[in-house]
Amino acid sequence: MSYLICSVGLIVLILVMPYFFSIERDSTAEQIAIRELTEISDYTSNTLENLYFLASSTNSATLTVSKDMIYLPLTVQDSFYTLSITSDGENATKVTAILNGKSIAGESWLIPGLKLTDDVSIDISKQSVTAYCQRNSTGFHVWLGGS
Amino acid sequence: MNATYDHLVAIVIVGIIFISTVVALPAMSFSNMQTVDEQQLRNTALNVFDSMLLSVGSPSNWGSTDPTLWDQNKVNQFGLASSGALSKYVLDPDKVQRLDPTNPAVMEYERVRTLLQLQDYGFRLSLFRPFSVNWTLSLTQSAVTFSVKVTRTEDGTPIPNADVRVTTMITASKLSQTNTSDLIYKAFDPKTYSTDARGKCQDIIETNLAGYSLQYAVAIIKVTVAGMSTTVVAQNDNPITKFIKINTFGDIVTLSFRNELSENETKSERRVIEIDAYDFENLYKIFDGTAMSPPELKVVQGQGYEYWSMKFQNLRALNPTVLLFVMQLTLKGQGRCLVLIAGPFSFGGSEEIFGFGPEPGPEKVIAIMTRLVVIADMTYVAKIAFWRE
Repeated sequence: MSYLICSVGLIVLILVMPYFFSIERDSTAEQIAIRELTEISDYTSNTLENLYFLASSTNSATLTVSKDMIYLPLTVQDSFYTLSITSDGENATKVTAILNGKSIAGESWLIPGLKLTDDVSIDISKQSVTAYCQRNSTGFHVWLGGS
Repeated sequence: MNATYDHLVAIVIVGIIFISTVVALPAMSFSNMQTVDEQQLRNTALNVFDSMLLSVGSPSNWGSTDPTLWDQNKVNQFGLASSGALSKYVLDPDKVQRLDPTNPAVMEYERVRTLLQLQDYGFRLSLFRPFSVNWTLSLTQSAVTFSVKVTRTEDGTPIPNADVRVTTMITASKLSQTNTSDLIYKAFDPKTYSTDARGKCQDIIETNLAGYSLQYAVAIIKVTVAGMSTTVVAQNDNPITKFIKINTFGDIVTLSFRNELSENETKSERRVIEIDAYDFENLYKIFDGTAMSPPELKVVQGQGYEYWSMKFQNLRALNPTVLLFVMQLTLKGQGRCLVLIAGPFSFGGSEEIFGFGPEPGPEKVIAIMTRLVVIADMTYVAKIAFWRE
Protein backbone atom coordinates (compact mmCIF):
# COMPACT_ATOMS: atom_id res chain seq x y z
CA MET A 1 0.00 0.00 0.00
CA SER A 2 2.84 2.38 0.89
CA TYR A 3 4.30 1.89 -2.57
CA LEU A 4 1.03 3.02 -3.99
CA ILE A 5 0.85 6.10 -1.75
CA CYS A 6 4.44 7.04 -2.52
CA SER A 7 3.95 6.53 -6.23
CA VAL A 8 0.70 8.50 -6.33
CA GLY A 9 2.30 11.18 -4.14
CA LEU A 10 5.28 11.52 -6.45
CA ILE A 11 3.08 11.60 -9.54
CA VAL A 12 0.96 14.34 -7.96
CA LEU A 13 4.13 16.14 -6.98
CA ILE A 14 5.48 15.93 -10.52
CA LEU A 15 2.19 17.29 -11.89
CA VAL A 16 1.76 20.01 -9.28
CA MET A 17 5.35 21.21 -8.96
CA PRO A 18 5.56 22.93 -12.36
CA TYR A 19 2.63 25.06 -11.32
CA PHE A 20 4.28 26.04 -8.04
CA PHE A 21 7.58 26.56 -9.77
CA SER A 22 6.03 28.73 -12.44
CA ILE A 23 4.64 30.99 -9.70
CA GLU A 24 7.99 30.99 -7.94
CA ARG A 25 9.87 31.52 -11.18
CA ASP A 26 7.72 34.53 -12.11
CA SER A 27 8.10 35.96 -8.63
CA THR A 28 11.87 35.41 -8.66
CA ALA A 29 12.18 36.88 -12.13
CA GLU A 30 10.25 39.95 -10.99
CA GLN A 31 12.38 40.30 -7.87
CA ILE A 32 15.57 39.96 -9.93
CA ALA A 33 14.25 42.54 -12.39
CA ILE A 34 13.49 44.95 -9.54
CA ARG A 35 16.98 44.52 -8.16
CA GLU A 36 18.57 44.94 -11.59
CA LEU A 37 16.53 48.11 -12.09
CA THR A 38 17.58 49.32 -8.63
CA GLU A 39 21.19 48.62 -9.59
CA ILE A 40 20.70 50.72 -12.73
CA SER A 41 19.08 53.58 -10.81
CA ASP A 42 21.88 53.35 -8.19
CA TYR A 43 24.43 53.76 -10.97
CA THR A 44 22.53 56.73 -12.41
CA SER A 45 22.07 58.32 -9.00
CA ASN A 46 25.75 57.86 -8.20
CA THR A 47 26.78 59.38 -11.52
CA LEU A 48 24.55 62.43 -10.99
CA GLU A 49 25.90 62.79 -7.44
CA ASN A 50 29.51 62.71 -8.67
CA LEU A 51 28.73 65.31 -11.32
CA TYR A 52 27.13 67.51 -8.65
CA PHE A 53 30.20 67.25 -6.37
CA LEU A 54 32.45 67.98 -9.34
CA ALA A 55 30.39 71.04 -10.33
CA SER A 56 30.13 72.34 -6.77
CA SER A 57 33.86 71.95 -6.11
CA THR A 58 34.78 74.62 -8.67
CA ASN A 59 34.56 78.38 -8.36
CA SER A 60 32.91 78.66 -11.75
CA ALA A 61 29.44 80.16 -11.41
CA THR A 62 28.18 78.66 -14.65
CA LEU A 63 29.21 75.34 -16.06
CA THR A 64 27.81 72.09 -17.36
CA VAL A 65 29.45 68.73 -16.74
CA SER A 66 28.40 65.45 -18.30
CA LYS A 67 29.22 61.76 -18.17
CA ASP A 68 28.36 59.03 -20.64
CA MET A 69 26.68 56.18 -18.82
CA ILE A 70 28.44 53.42 -20.71
CA TYR A 71 27.65 50.66 -18.23
CA LEU A 72 23.89 50.86 -18.64
CA PRO A 73 22.50 47.58 -20.03
CA LEU A 74 20.24 47.76 -23.07
CA THR A 75 17.64 45.43 -21.58
CA VAL A 76 16.56 44.03 -18.26
CA GLN A 77 15.05 40.53 -18.34
CA ASP A 78 14.82 40.91 -22.13
CA SER A 79 12.72 44.07 -21.84
CA PHE A 80 13.63 47.66 -22.61
CA TYR A 81 13.26 50.13 -19.80
CA THR A 82 12.87 53.85 -19.12
CA LEU A 83 15.11 55.84 -16.83
CA SER A 84 13.65 58.91 -15.15
CA ILE A 85 14.36 61.43 -12.42
CA THR A 86 11.29 62.04 -10.31
CA SER A 87 10.68 65.16 -8.27
CA ASP A 88 8.49 66.68 -5.61
CA GLY A 89 7.73 69.67 -7.84
CA GLU A 90 10.97 71.55 -8.35
CA ASN A 91 13.60 69.43 -6.62
CA ALA A 92 14.79 66.03 -7.77
CA THR A 93 14.09 63.35 -5.20
CA LYS A 94 14.93 59.97 -6.69
CA VAL A 95 15.97 58.09 -9.80
CA THR A 96 13.54 55.49 -11.11
CA ALA A 97 14.11 52.74 -13.69
CA ILE A 98 10.89 51.12 -14.96
CA LEU A 99 10.40 48.28 -17.43
CA ASN A 100 8.53 49.45 -20.53
CA GLY A 101 4.94 48.26 -20.54
CA LYS A 102 5.15 46.78 -17.04
CA SER A 103 4.78 48.14 -13.56
CA ILE A 104 8.12 46.73 -12.39
CA ALA A 105 10.46 49.44 -11.21
CA GLY A 106 13.54 50.06 -9.09
CA GLU A 107 14.38 53.39 -7.51
CA SER A 108 17.31 55.01 -5.76
CA TRP A 109 17.97 57.79 -3.32
CA LEU A 110 19.23 61.00 -4.91
CA ILE A 111 21.24 63.66 -3.16
CA PRO A 112 18.90 66.52 -2.10
CA GLY A 113 19.21 70.03 -3.51
CA LEU A 114 19.31 69.14 -7.20
CA LYS A 115 16.80 70.83 -9.50
CA LEU A 116 15.18 69.39 -12.57
CA THR A 117 14.95 70.62 -16.13
CA ASP A 118 12.07 69.53 -18.36
CA ASP A 119 13.66 66.42 -19.82
CA VAL A 120 13.71 64.00 -16.96
CA SER A 121 12.80 60.72 -18.65
CA ILE A 122 14.58 58.72 -21.30
CA ASP A 123 13.76 55.44 -23.08
CA ILE A 124 16.90 53.31 -23.12
CA SER A 125 15.82 51.29 -26.15
CA LYS A 126 16.50 54.10 -28.57
CA GLN A 127 19.73 55.72 -27.52
CA SER A 128 22.78 55.76 -25.30
CA VAL A 129 22.46 57.89 -22.21
CA THR A 130 24.46 60.81 -20.89
CA ALA A 131 23.98 62.34 -17.43
CA TYR A 132 24.28 66.12 -17.14
CA CYS A 133 24.65 68.53 -14.25
CA GLN A 134 24.52 72.26 -14.85
CA ARG A 135 25.47 74.91 -12.33
CA ASN A 136 23.95 78.34 -12.84
CA SER A 137 22.60 81.24 -10.81
CA THR A 138 19.48 79.29 -9.81
CA GLY A 139 21.29 76.23 -8.51
CA PHE A 140 22.32 72.80 -9.74
CA HIS A 141 20.15 71.30 -12.49
CA VAL A 142 20.36 67.66 -13.56
CA TRP A 143 18.94 65.80 -16.51
CA LEU A 144 19.49 62.76 -18.71
CA GLY A 145 20.14 63.11 -22.41
CA GLY A 146 20.22 60.63 -25.29
CA SER A 147 22.47 60.47 -28.29
CA MET B 1 -0.89 -2.65 12.43
CA ASN B 2 2.20 -2.92 10.23
CA ALA B 3 0.20 -1.63 7.28
CA THR B 4 -0.79 1.49 9.25
CA TYR B 5 2.86 2.20 10.06
CA ASP B 6 3.66 1.55 6.45
CA HIS B 7 1.10 4.15 5.36
CA LEU B 8 2.26 6.69 7.90
CA VAL B 9 5.89 6.34 6.83
CA ALA B 10 4.92 6.73 3.20
CA ILE B 11 2.81 9.81 3.91
CA VAL B 12 5.61 11.36 5.98
CA ILE B 13 8.18 10.70 3.24
CA VAL B 14 5.96 12.20 0.55
CA GLY B 15 5.14 15.14 2.81
CA ILE B 16 8.83 15.83 3.49
CA ILE B 17 9.65 15.71 -0.21
CA PHE B 18 6.74 18.02 -1.01
CA ILE B 19 7.46 20.57 1.71
CA SER B 20 11.21 20.63 1.14
CA THR B 21 10.66 21.16 -2.58
CA VAL B 22 8.06 23.89 -2.18
CA VAL B 23 9.61 25.68 0.83
CA ALA B 24 13.36 25.07 0.74
CA LEU B 25 14.05 26.08 -2.85
CA PRO B 26 12.28 29.47 -2.63
CA ALA B 27 14.02 30.05 0.69
CA MET B 28 17.38 29.47 -0.99
CA SER B 29 16.59 31.97 -3.69
CA PHE B 30 15.33 34.39 -1.00
CA SER B 31 18.71 34.31 0.76
CA ASN B 32 20.38 35.20 -2.55
CA MET B 33 17.93 38.09 -2.93
CA GLN B 34 18.79 39.26 0.56
CA THR B 35 22.47 39.43 -0.38
CA VAL B 36 21.58 41.66 -3.32
CA ASP B 37 19.42 43.79 -1.02
CA GLU B 38 22.34 44.23 1.37
CA GLN B 39 24.57 45.31 -1.50
CA GLN B 40 21.97 47.82 -2.67
CA LEU B 41 21.60 49.14 0.87
CA ARG B 42 25.37 49.63 0.87
CA ASN B 43 25.09 51.57 -2.40
CA THR B 44 22.53 53.90 -0.86
CA ALA B 45 24.58 54.20 2.34
CA LEU B 46 27.62 55.14 0.26
CA ASN B 47 25.69 57.87 -1.54
CA VAL B 48 24.21 59.24 1.68
CA PHE B 49 27.58 59.12 3.46
CA ASP B 50 29.31 60.94 0.60
CA SER B 51 26.52 63.48 0.58
CA MET B 52 27.03 64.16 4.30
CA LEU B 53 30.82 64.37 4.11
CA LEU B 54 31.34 66.06 0.73
CA SER B 55 28.46 68.53 0.59
CA VAL B 56 28.76 71.89 2.35
CA GLY B 57 25.00 72.21 2.75
CA SER B 58 22.98 75.36 2.31
CA PRO B 59 23.64 78.01 3.46
CA SER B 60 27.27 77.00 3.15
CA ASN B 61 28.12 78.37 6.61
CA TRP B 62 25.00 77.06 8.36
CA GLY B 63 27.01 75.74 11.31
CA SER B 64 28.46 79.15 12.14
CA THR B 65 25.14 80.93 12.63
CA ASP B 66 25.06 83.07 15.77
CA PRO B 67 23.45 80.90 18.52
CA THR B 68 20.89 83.64 19.27
CA LEU B 69 19.75 83.55 15.61
CA TRP B 70 19.90 79.76 15.21
CA ASP B 71 16.88 78.06 13.66
CA GLN B 72 17.40 74.57 12.27
CA ASN B 73 14.52 75.13 9.85
CA LYS B 74 16.59 77.78 8.07
CA VAL B 75 19.06 75.11 6.97
CA ASN B 76 17.94 74.14 3.48
CA GLN B 77 20.45 71.44 2.73
CA PHE B 78 22.52 69.23 4.99
CA GLY B 79 26.25 68.69 4.56
CA LEU B 80 29.19 68.73 6.96
CA ALA B 81 32.04 69.63 4.59
CA SER B 82 34.06 72.74 5.22
CA SER B 83 33.18 75.38 2.62
CA GLY B 84 36.73 76.67 2.17
CA ALA B 85 38.53 73.34 2.07
CA LEU B 86 40.65 72.46 -0.93
CA SER B 87 40.66 68.76 -0.05
CA LYS B 88 37.80 66.31 0.24
CA TYR B 89 36.54 64.89 3.54
CA VAL B 90 37.54 68.00 5.48
CA LEU B 91 34.64 68.72 7.84
CA ASP B 92 33.59 72.02 9.38
CA PRO B 93 33.95 71.76 13.20
CA ASP B 94 31.05 74.21 13.68
CA LYS B 95 28.72 72.00 11.63
CA VAL B 96 29.79 68.83 13.43
CA GLN B 97 29.14 70.52 16.79
CA ARG B 98 25.56 71.29 15.74
CA LEU B 99 24.89 67.53 15.82
CA ASP B 100 25.75 67.32 19.52
CA PRO B 101 22.43 67.18 21.43
CA THR B 102 23.92 69.03 24.42
CA ASN B 103 24.66 72.02 22.19
CA PRO B 104 22.70 75.30 22.69
CA ALA B 105 22.06 75.37 18.92
CA VAL B 106 21.38 71.83 17.84
CA MET B 107 20.34 70.19 14.58
CA GLU B 108 17.93 67.40 15.42
CA TYR B 109 18.07 63.91 13.94
CA GLU B 110 14.58 64.11 12.43
CA ARG B 111 15.43 67.42 10.76
CA VAL B 112 18.52 65.86 9.19
CA ARG B 113 16.47 62.91 7.95
CA THR B 114 13.97 65.30 6.41
CA LEU B 115 16.69 67.36 4.73
CA LEU B 116 18.35 64.24 3.33
CA GLN B 117 14.97 62.80 2.31
CA LEU B 118 15.67 59.63 4.24
CA GLN B 119 12.16 58.98 5.53
CA ASP B 120 12.43 55.27 4.71
CA TYR B 121 15.86 54.86 6.27
CA GLY B 122 17.55 55.28 9.63
CA PHE B 123 21.19 56.05 10.31
CA ARG B 124 23.71 56.68 13.04
CA LEU B 125 26.77 58.81 12.34
CA SER B 126 29.72 58.38 14.72
CA LEU B 127 33.18 59.87 15.01
CA PHE B 128 36.04 57.75 16.32
CA ARG B 129 39.71 58.23 16.97
CA PRO B 130 41.96 56.50 14.39
CA PHE B 131 43.44 54.52 17.28
CA SER B 132 42.49 53.98 20.90
CA VAL B 133 44.05 56.10 23.65
CA ASN B 134 43.39 55.26 27.30
CA TRP B 135 44.65 57.57 30.00
CA THR B 136 44.79 58.08 33.74
CA LEU B 137 45.49 61.34 35.52
CA SER B 138 45.72 61.92 39.24
CA LEU B 139 46.91 64.67 41.57
CA THR B 140 48.92 64.79 44.74
CA GLN B 141 49.36 68.04 46.63
CA SER B 142 52.18 69.19 44.34
CA ALA B 143 52.43 66.81 41.37
CA VAL B 144 50.40 65.59 38.40
CA THR B 145 50.74 61.92 37.52
CA PHE B 146 49.52 60.68 34.17
CA SER B 147 49.77 57.58 32.04
CA VAL B 148 48.78 56.94 28.43
CA LYS B 149 48.20 53.65 26.63
CA VAL B 150 47.93 53.63 22.84
CA THR B 151 46.39 50.60 21.14
CA ARG B 152 44.91 49.61 17.81
CA THR B 153 41.15 50.08 17.76
CA GLU B 154 40.54 46.86 15.84
CA ASP B 155 42.17 44.33 18.16
CA GLY B 156 43.65 46.23 21.11
CA THR B 157 47.26 45.52 20.05
CA PRO B 158 49.66 47.94 21.80
CA ILE B 159 51.32 50.53 19.55
CA PRO B 160 54.97 51.09 20.51
CA ASN B 161 56.96 54.24 19.62
CA ALA B 162 53.88 56.42 19.32
CA ASP B 163 54.83 60.07 19.70
CA VAL B 164 53.04 61.54 22.76
CA ARG B 165 53.12 65.28 23.35
CA VAL B 166 51.61 66.43 26.64
CA THR B 167 50.64 70.01 27.46
CA THR B 168 49.52 70.41 31.06
CA MET B 169 47.65 73.15 32.88
CA ILE B 170 46.83 73.15 36.58
CA THR B 171 44.92 75.26 39.07
CA ALA B 172 45.96 75.48 42.72
CA SER B 173 44.94 77.15 45.93
CA LYS B 174 47.07 78.44 48.77
CA LEU B 175 46.89 76.13 51.75
CA SER B 176 45.48 79.00 53.82
CA GLN B 177 43.23 80.76 51.29
CA THR B 178 42.17 84.29 52.21
CA ASN B 179 41.17 85.94 48.89
CA THR B 180 41.07 85.30 45.15
CA SER B 181 44.74 86.15 44.71
CA ASP B 182 45.45 82.88 46.53
CA LEU B 183 44.03 80.99 43.55
CA ILE B 184 46.48 80.47 40.74
CA TYR B 185 46.68 78.62 37.43
CA LYS B 186 49.69 77.65 35.43
CA ALA B 187 50.44 76.10 32.06
CA PHE B 188 53.53 73.94 31.66
CA ASP B 189 55.64 73.71 28.53
CA PRO B 190 54.78 70.72 26.33
CA LYS B 191 56.80 67.56 26.94
CA THR B 192 57.30 64.78 24.42
CA TYR B 193 57.36 61.05 25.17
CA SER B 194 57.36 57.74 23.27
CA THR B 195 55.29 54.71 24.12
CA ASP B 196 57.15 51.55 25.12
CA ALA B 197 56.61 47.99 23.84
CA ARG B 198 53.36 47.79 25.83
CA GLY B 199 52.10 50.97 24.15
CA LYS B 200 52.44 52.88 27.42
CA CYS B 201 54.13 55.99 28.70
CA GLN B 202 53.80 57.82 31.98
CA ASP B 203 55.34 60.65 33.95
CA ILE B 204 55.06 62.72 37.08
CA ILE B 205 55.04 66.47 36.57
CA GLU B 206 56.27 68.30 39.65
CA THR B 207 54.61 71.72 39.90
CA ASN B 208 57.08 73.14 42.44
CA LEU B 209 54.39 75.34 43.96
CA ALA B 210 55.40 75.54 47.60
CA GLY B 211 52.54 76.44 49.91
CA TYR B 212 49.86 75.59 47.35
CA SER B 213 47.61 72.60 46.93
CA LEU B 214 46.65 71.38 43.45
CA GLN B 215 42.91 71.50 42.68
CA TYR B 216 42.40 70.67 39.01
CA ALA B 217 44.62 69.58 36.14
CA VAL B 218 44.08 69.14 32.42
CA ALA B 219 46.57 67.41 30.16
CA ILE B 220 46.10 67.88 26.41
CA ILE B 221 47.70 64.78 24.94
CA LYS B 222 48.52 64.71 21.24
CA VAL B 223 49.35 61.20 20.07
CA THR B 224 50.93 60.68 16.66
CA VAL B 225 51.24 57.29 15.00
CA ALA B 226 52.66 56.98 11.48
CA GLY B 227 51.93 60.62 10.72
CA MET B 228 48.33 60.40 11.95
CA SER B 229 47.47 62.38 15.07
CA THR B 230 44.69 62.41 17.62
CA THR B 231 44.16 64.57 20.67
CA VAL B 232 42.93 63.40 24.07
CA VAL B 233 42.03 65.69 26.94
CA ALA B 234 42.79 64.04 30.27
CA GLN B 235 41.61 65.63 33.48
CA ASN B 236 41.25 64.67 37.10
CA ASP B 237 37.84 63.65 38.41
CA ASN B 238 35.67 66.75 38.29
CA PRO B 239 31.85 66.47 38.46
CA ILE B 240 31.44 70.09 37.39
CA THR B 241 32.82 69.69 33.88
CA LYS B 242 29.89 67.59 32.67
CA PHE B 243 27.54 70.54 33.30
CA ILE B 244 29.67 73.08 31.44
CA LYS B 245 30.17 72.86 27.72
CA ILE B 246 32.15 74.86 25.17
CA ASN B 247 30.88 75.46 21.64
CA THR B 248 32.03 77.54 18.72
CA PHE B 249 29.96 79.31 16.07
CA GLY B 250 32.42 80.75 13.58
CA ASP B 251 34.30 83.42 15.56
CA ILE B 252 31.90 83.19 18.52
CA VAL B 253 32.72 81.04 21.53
CA THR B 254 29.95 80.07 23.95
CA LEU B 255 30.19 78.52 27.38
CA SER B 256 26.89 76.96 28.42
CA PHE B 257 25.94 75.97 31.95
CA ARG B 258 23.28 73.37 32.50
CA ASN B 259 20.87 74.20 35.31
CA GLU B 260 22.11 71.16 37.24
CA LEU B 261 25.31 73.13 37.89
CA SER B 262 23.49 75.41 40.34
CA GLU B 263 22.97 72.39 42.64
CA ASN B 264 26.74 72.19 43.05
CA GLU B 265 27.58 75.85 43.45
CA THR B 266 26.54 78.86 45.47
CA LYS B 267 24.97 81.94 43.88
CA SER B 268 28.31 83.75 43.78
CA GLU B 269 29.75 85.33 40.69
CA ARG B 270 31.16 83.14 37.91
CA ARG B 271 34.12 84.56 36.08
CA VAL B 272 36.08 83.58 33.02
CA ILE B 273 39.69 84.17 34.03
CA GLU B 274 41.40 83.04 30.85
CA ILE B 275 40.71 81.29 27.55
CA ASP B 276 43.46 79.44 25.71
CA ALA B 277 43.42 77.90 22.26
CA TYR B 278 45.39 74.74 21.50
CA ASP B 279 46.47 74.47 17.88
CA PHE B 280 48.14 71.03 17.96
CA GLU B 281 51.44 72.40 19.22
CA ASN B 282 51.00 74.99 21.95
CA LEU B 283 48.48 76.88 24.05
CA TYR B 284 47.76 80.45 22.98
CA LYS B 285 46.01 82.88 25.28
CA ILE B 286 43.07 84.43 23.42
CA PHE B 287 41.28 86.05 26.38
CA ASP B 288 42.51 87.56 29.61
CA GLY B 289 39.78 88.17 32.18
CA THR B 290 42.14 89.20 34.97
CA ALA B 291 42.21 92.81 33.76
CA MET B 292 40.56 95.45 35.93
CA SER B 293 37.72 95.88 33.45
CA PRO B 294 37.49 92.65 31.47
CA PRO B 295 35.49 92.62 28.21
CA GLU B 296 31.78 92.13 28.68
CA LEU B 297 30.49 88.59 28.33
CA LYS B 298 27.01 88.26 26.90
CA VAL B 299 24.67 86.07 28.99
CA VAL B 300 21.75 84.31 27.26
CA GLN B 301 19.06 82.23 28.98
CA GLY B 302 18.20 78.98 27.23
CA GLN B 303 15.84 76.12 28.08
CA GLY B 304 17.54 74.16 30.86
CA TYR B 305 20.78 76.12 30.60
CA GLU B 306 22.30 79.56 30.29
CA TYR B 307 25.32 80.51 28.28
CA TRP B 308 27.91 83.18 27.85
CA SER B 309 29.20 84.12 24.46
CA MET B 310 31.99 86.25 23.12
CA LYS B 311 33.37 87.00 19.70
CA PHE B 312 37.06 86.55 18.88
CA GLN B 313 38.35 87.92 15.60
CA ASN B 314 39.94 85.22 13.41
CA LEU B 315 39.07 82.36 15.75
CA ARG B 316 37.69 80.43 12.80
CA ALA B 317 40.88 81.02 10.85
CA LEU B 318 42.95 79.84 13.83
CA ASN B 319 40.79 76.67 13.85
CA PRO B 320 41.86 75.47 17.32
CA THR B 321 41.59 71.78 18.16
CA VAL B 322 40.86 72.45 21.83
CA LEU B 323 39.70 75.51 23.76
CA LEU B 324 40.62 75.63 27.44
CA PHE B 325 38.71 77.84 29.87
CA VAL B 326 39.94 78.82 33.31
CA MET B 327 36.76 79.55 35.30
CA GLN B 328 36.36 80.93 38.78
CA LEU B 329 33.41 79.27 40.53
CA THR B 330 32.22 79.00 44.11
CA LEU B 331 31.34 75.38 44.78
CA LYS B 332 29.38 74.02 47.68
CA GLY B 333 31.65 72.39 50.24
CA GLN B 334 34.77 73.61 48.46
CA GLY B 335 34.45 77.36 48.30
CA ARG B 336 35.95 79.56 45.64
CA CYS B 337 38.17 77.75 43.17
CA LEU B 338 39.52 77.80 39.67
CA VAL B 339 38.12 75.11 37.35
CA LEU B 340 39.49 74.03 33.97
CA ILE B 341 37.00 73.31 31.18
CA ALA B 342 38.07 71.85 27.81
CA GLY B 343 36.09 71.58 24.59
CA PRO B 344 34.37 71.90 22.17
CA PHE B 345 34.33 68.13 21.61
CA SER B 346 34.35 65.60 24.40
CA PHE B 347 37.93 64.51 23.92
CA GLY B 348 37.99 62.42 27.08
CA GLY B 349 36.73 59.17 25.52
CA SER B 350 39.28 56.61 24.39
CA GLU B 351 37.58 55.78 21.07
CA GLU B 352 34.19 57.30 20.14
CA ILE B 353 34.05 61.10 20.24
CA PHE B 354 30.29 61.22 19.75
CA GLY B 355 27.41 59.60 17.90
CA PHE B 356 24.42 61.15 16.15
CA GLY B 357 21.17 59.24 15.66
CA PRO B 358 19.61 56.22 17.36
CA GLU B 359 21.24 52.82 17.74
CA PRO B 360 19.88 50.36 15.15
CA GLY B 361 17.65 47.56 16.37
CA PRO B 362 19.25 44.10 16.53
CA GLU B 363 16.85 42.73 13.90
CA LYS B 364 17.75 45.27 11.23
CA VAL B 365 20.02 44.65 8.25
CA ILE B 366 22.70 47.30 8.57
CA ALA B 367 25.19 48.70 6.09
CA ILE B 368 28.27 50.09 7.81
CA MET B 369 30.78 52.34 6.08
CA THR B 370 33.80 54.23 7.37
CA ARG B 371 35.87 57.12 6.03
CA LEU B 372 38.85 59.04 7.33
CA VAL B 373 37.87 62.69 7.82
CA VAL B 374 39.71 65.75 9.03
CA ILE B 375 38.23 68.14 11.60
CA ALA B 376 40.29 71.09 12.84
CA ASP B 377 43.43 69.53 11.29
CA MET B 378 42.92 66.30 13.19
CA THR B 379 42.10 62.95 11.61
CA TYR B 380 39.04 60.99 12.76
CA VAL B 381 37.26 57.90 11.55
CA ALA B 382 33.68 58.74 10.54
CA LYS B 383 31.33 55.77 10.56
CA ILE B 384 27.76 55.48 9.33
CA ALA B 385 25.40 52.66 10.24
CA PHE B 386 22.53 52.67 7.77
CA TRP B 387 19.34 50.63 7.69
CA ARG B 388 15.82 50.47 6.28
CA GLU B 389 13.09 51.49 8.70
